[in-house]
Amino acid sequence: MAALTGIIKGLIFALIGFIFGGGIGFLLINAAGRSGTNEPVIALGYLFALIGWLFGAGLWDAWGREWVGLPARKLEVNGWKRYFRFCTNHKVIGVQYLVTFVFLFLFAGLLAMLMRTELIAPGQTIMGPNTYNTTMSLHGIIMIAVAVATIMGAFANFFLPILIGAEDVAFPRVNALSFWLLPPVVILLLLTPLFGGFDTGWTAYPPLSVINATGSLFFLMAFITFGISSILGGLNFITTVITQRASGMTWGRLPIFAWGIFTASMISLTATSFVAVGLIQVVLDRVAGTSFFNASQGGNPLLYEHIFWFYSHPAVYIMILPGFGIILEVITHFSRKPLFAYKWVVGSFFFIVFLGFIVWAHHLNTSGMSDYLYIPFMVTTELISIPTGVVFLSALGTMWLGRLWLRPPMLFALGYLFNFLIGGVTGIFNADVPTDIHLHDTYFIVAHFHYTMMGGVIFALMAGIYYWFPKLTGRMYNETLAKVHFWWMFIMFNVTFIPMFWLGINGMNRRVFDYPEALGGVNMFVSIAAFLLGASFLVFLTNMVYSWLRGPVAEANPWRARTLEWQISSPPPEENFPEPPQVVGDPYGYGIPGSVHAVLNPAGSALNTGGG
Amino acid sequence: MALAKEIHGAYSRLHTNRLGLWLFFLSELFIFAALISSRFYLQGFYRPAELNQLLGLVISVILVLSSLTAYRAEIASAHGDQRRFRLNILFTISLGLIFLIGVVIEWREGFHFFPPSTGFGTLFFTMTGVHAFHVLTGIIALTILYFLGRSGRFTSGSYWGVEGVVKYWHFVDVAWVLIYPTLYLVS
Amino acid sequence: MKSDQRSLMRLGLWVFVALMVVEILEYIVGVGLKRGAWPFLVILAVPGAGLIIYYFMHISQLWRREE
Repeated sequence: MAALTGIIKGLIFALIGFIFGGGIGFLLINAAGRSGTNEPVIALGYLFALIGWLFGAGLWDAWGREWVGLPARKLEVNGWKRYFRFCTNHKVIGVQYLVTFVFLFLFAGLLAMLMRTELIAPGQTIMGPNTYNTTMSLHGIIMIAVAVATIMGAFANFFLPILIGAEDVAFPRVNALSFWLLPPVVILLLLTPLFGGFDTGWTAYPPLSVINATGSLFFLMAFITFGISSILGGLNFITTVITQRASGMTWGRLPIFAWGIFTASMISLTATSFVAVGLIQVVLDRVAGTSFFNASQGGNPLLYEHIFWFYSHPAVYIMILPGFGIILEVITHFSRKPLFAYKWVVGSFFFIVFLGFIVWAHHLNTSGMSDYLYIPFMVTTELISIPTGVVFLSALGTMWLGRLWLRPPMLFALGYLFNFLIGGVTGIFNADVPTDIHLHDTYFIVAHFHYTMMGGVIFALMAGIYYWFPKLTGRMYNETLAKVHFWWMFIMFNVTFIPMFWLGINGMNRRVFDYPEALGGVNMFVSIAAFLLGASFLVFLTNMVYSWLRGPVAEANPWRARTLEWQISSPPPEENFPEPPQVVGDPYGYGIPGSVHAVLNPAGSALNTGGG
Repeated sequence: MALAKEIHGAYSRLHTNRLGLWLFFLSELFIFAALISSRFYLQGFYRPAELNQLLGLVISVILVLSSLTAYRAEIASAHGDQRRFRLNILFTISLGLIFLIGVVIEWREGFHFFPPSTGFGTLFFTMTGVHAFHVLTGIIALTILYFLGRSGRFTSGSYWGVEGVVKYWHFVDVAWVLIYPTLYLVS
Repeated sequence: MKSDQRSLMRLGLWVFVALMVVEILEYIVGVGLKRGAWPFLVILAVPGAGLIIYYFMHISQLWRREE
């Protein structure tokens, strides 16, 4: 029972909060004389339910008590039960994130299977347009959340403090808070089908998102809640990297994964609150009767598209920068060579952050925005190929003449490079206004962003999982199954998405449950390939679950890597480092005689790391 | 925590807290930036003639005055002057409440001349509403601070709570300094 | 009051006076000009916000390590 007390208390407090807030909403509706809508009740009820949930789930015990002069209560459960409680240990939170999001990923993958079943033949196959659109929107938003938060939430939480030689993140309670904001997000999204679904896709463009079923309100509130979690996560990681580094861990010695998280956090800290305003404006239009997007009253739906993409384009760099970090990390360790052009890569990360903020309007090429915006945004968008090119050159330069060690993480990293190259090259056609006007809103776009998001971010995630699994769990996975998973996933991924470029060029629209008869054959092919792609995750799941429970015990450093997390036991001890480590050199000095990254117990015997 | 201090001697707990708070302000600034851009995008420089300019000036002055009292509270707390600290916190809370009353009066007039369903009203009510929400949370935090201060929680060497809340209150003032001309004065 | 406390209090008062001047100038410019007031408002509002950020919120604490 001790495991679930927090959750049960949270649910009870949420219910009380909902009744309180909903009551206020009800009174307000009556006072304003509006009838025929219950959305103010839901919106205000949710606001208070969220506060109630957080306080019940542990915010009160860990934090709120101090506000009334009482001492904060320490969490007194240990072992597996901690994973269900408001625990402030960064390693526990990392695992909470990882398990939650892997399940969400598999769930949204099942939704994709449903969509491909519907698209297996022209006309209606298994579901109508509304159901299809809700399925598609849910798949979209959950996968976006997976891409934004899995690497940041799981690996950054678990490994960033260890990589920089710290005991924990800068604000452990904020960290726990950002995880416990997620269950409401999941619940809201799962409730949407009961309230008429939402048919806008994850972008929620008005005017449709203002006038459609109540499910849309649930989606908007879920998105805002997720945004708060993302902002707090970003704030925490920036502060952690700046203030919690071990002595000697200068900026020039920071592992590249830490740089990826640092730069991605800069985006999630700032851009996310910008989009929250856009979403709140839609909620206000629905709930309070304002007219931000009601053109007859002086509103303008284009405002939303600008605000939305001002966040959502940088958001793809929130997803991709940590991915770059993992990939470069894996490539340098498995090539046994120093990371090529380290400083240039760090500079490129910052350049990507900067450019990410000034390219958003390339999503609006067919929206009817002012003509003078097309060319500047086309130019800035294409500039992004420079810093991403630097990252690619760094990966290639690191592998050049290296002794590649083709273990599963390295395979996924190489698969990433292949897929992301295709994703990047096809992006040029979307950035160029003349081609994009033809390709906009077709399966060409779908194929393009799946090559960057699934072929990129998910492959990076898989590389990360296979790289850090022994450290996370203390057990080793089955190498053969992992390699089977890689080849199966890599081949079926390409077989699924390459034909989609063709479909898009030939006029198959996104977000529609039906398509012209002539495209039937290729769609059948894509659907079958997609089912096989989906099936590859059964191998993954089997391997992970079995290995976590029964796998052979892992060594402390199975990859003979030099960074700090591999110098401590697997799984890491509660305090990470028995003594504060002293960083004395470059983390990637493979093959350089006498190069040492860190001394783990500076006071005692000289147990140096690295060498290998 | 003692261990943490040894490792990261260069950055104390206080410094870390300050950095986190400033990053939070940066994030918040983007909220107000989005609102201000929405105002210019949708309404340009338009302002209705019915806007109560005098009331706008008065509540702006009140909020700036409350920033001064908050500043005095922090300085007093830093010097262990508990009596003056509590007095200034009370002043700040009262001025915040007067500001909110001013907003309510504005809203009553606004409902009459430019209701929230109209173009300017949409922006006026949203921007003042978001800001008033910040003022309200600030008042709640100040009230908690007052009672904690009365029970002797803060000393001249340890007053991060005071510093944090007062900084937040100043930030709410900064936001108003930017919103006030955007909503009332551009033409 | 100790002397450094008194001088800090006096500094706060001066900042407040400066902010009052800014607000009132803004008001005069904004209400007085029928059009084209915005450049003056930017020139007034941004330093106004800067005064609060520098003197009231002590932003320099962030890069001044010793204290």
